[in-house]
Amino acid sequence: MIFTVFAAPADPSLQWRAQLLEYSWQRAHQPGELVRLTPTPPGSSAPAHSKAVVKQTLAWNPHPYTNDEYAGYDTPSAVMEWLFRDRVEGSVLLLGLNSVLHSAVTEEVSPGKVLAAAWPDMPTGEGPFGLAMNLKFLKCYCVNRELALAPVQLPILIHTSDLRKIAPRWAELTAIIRSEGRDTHGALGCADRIAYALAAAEYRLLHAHSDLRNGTDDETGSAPVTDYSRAVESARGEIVWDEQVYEPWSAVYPEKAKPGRGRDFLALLNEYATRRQSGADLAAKRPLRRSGVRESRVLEDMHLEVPGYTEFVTLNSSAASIWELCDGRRTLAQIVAELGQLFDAPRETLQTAVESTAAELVAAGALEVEDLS
Amino acid sequence: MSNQGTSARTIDLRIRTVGGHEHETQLAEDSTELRELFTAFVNRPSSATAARPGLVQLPLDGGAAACTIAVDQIVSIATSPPVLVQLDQPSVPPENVAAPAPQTHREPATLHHPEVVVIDDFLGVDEHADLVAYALRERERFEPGTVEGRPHHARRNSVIMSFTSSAHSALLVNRLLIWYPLIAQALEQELFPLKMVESQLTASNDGDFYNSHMDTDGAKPDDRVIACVYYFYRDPKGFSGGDLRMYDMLDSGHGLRRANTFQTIEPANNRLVAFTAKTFHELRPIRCPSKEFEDSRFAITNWIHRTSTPDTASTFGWGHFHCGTVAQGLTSMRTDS
Repeated sequence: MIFTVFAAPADPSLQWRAQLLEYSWQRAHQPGELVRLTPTPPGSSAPAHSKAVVKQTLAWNPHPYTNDEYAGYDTPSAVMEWLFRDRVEGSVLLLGLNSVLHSAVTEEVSPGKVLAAAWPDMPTGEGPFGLAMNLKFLKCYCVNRELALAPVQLPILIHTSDLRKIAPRWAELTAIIRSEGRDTHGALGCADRIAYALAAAEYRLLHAHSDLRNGTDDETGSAPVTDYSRAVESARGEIVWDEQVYEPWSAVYPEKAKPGRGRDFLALLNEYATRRQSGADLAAKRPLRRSGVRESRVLEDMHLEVPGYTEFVTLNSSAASIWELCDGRRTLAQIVAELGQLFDAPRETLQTAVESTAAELVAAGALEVEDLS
Repeated sequence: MSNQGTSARTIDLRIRTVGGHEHETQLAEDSTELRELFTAFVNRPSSATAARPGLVQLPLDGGAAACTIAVDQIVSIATSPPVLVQLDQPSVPPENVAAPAPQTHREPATLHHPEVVVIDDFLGVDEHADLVAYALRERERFEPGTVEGRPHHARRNSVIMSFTSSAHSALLVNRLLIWYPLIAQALEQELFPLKMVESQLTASNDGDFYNSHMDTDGAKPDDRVIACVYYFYRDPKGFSGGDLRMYDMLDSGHGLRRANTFQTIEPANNRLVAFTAKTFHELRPIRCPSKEFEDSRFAITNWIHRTSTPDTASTFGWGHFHCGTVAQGLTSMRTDS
């Protein structure tokens, strides 16, 4: 079993990245399970996904003990909690959030061996572990100061037993580096990567560099994962797309990008955005109520009693309208179209509402969605 | 919660009752019914004192039917394969126990199975080796363990009481704090602000033991709440035994008392075991044929103390972590979607 895993807080501005990754996972026919780990502040609801299993975890950003705001706490703390609570076994393809799958990863790993992407920019120097001198404080917190660190970064392909061992130390070291690091030189920004390399070395994990990752600036390469952290450029070096300013599902122009992984990525993004705009994505999904679900109404709200669940699911009038159209015959696209005739709302708004309501009802055990694609 | 996964066997039971009647059923080895049957059987009231006999209910036909038996009517329970019922009372009555007065009759009690968290590979390879080296190096500092206000024969092992102030304690505590929210969650404890984490290093050699006890009576507001025992020793292992017994609790509505049933946790190398400090537990006798100190089973017990006066300034572990209050991000436990 290969678990494709990424951590993404329940921040609406991050949802497009998670959805695009989910689409790419499905499109690549990646075997196994897709898991979204979601560090969640109190009171937040789970983000909606049709394929990914969403695991809500405690929020470690800002860090509960240091109050430091750093997105690098998300992955190690969420992975640690997931592997503590779910005693899963297998290989984990652990991705950064700015990733999509270009092709499937079918190789599994055995305990003790890790495949990882190279980290050529690791801050090396005369400090401990061959790191930069501004990390010399690490000597105070590491028993073995002679370890050789593997210059690697996400994505990694690692066995659950190894990830389970190192995740707590990874989380701990990230916080120590962030707390001690006064002279930045990039060390604070990449504290999570340094912490990973050190934790893995302390647990004697052997890394093999692997062609797991290409960047959008790579003109060649057949890695299964594309990292789109860097802007996509044209052949003349002009920026044609940048994840930091991208407006979700707006049109992109792959043909403007220079040939290579950047263009491939934009083609994927364009394909998914077009599917969403046309409703093709929803046309391939047909919701069906699970048997035994009982309905009741109190004023405007509808309550669902789901067999096997102790709590009622409460639907407001909008969600109830969607629920009533989930009859096992209509697709989500048809439900959007019917709601469009009933309500004066933009199509995109209705689409989002139908999509998220359906995902929440699936999560609540009231609905299942048949994939017609 | 434990990460010790084992597949439960099916036990065939033949229960003989007064008058020679026999009842046959099957139960899983780890089933609640099996545990409760033996608990009730052992604790069944005598005919002279019983105001009302207790009842046990056993599933028949895979749960399609049930058989209810008055426990005072049970004469014998035959099992196949044999079930080892370790109901021996410790040689010394358990201490630190709100022991109930001798009862003239027993009321029906609810059996509680304490949650236990087991974390293997708790420290890195070198950290573990360094702790072993530290314990061996500090041999002269170990003193006979004592139990405040309790008979000396309740416990036998050696302790470094001042371990809390050591760098090795900081190393362990810092890692433990990363685990603290998950451990508290697994032990069904609300996250609480920390007053301190108290550490004690013990060495247990041939014949050493610690009878069943709780680590707190819970009377003080700033008391121990969670106990976390980290086990380590030199390879190859030079001892046997020394298992940790976690006793079930019986709640008869007038407070908790120790049941005679328990779960056993092996003190595996580099393993942390966490439980609430109010749980009855026992260190089983250790056999160490060489009697060499180096072959001892070492354990660092960390007690996480609650504070009733939260303090944002207090630091823990290496000094980076402020756990004197509970951060907002941790105050709401989530469930899977």
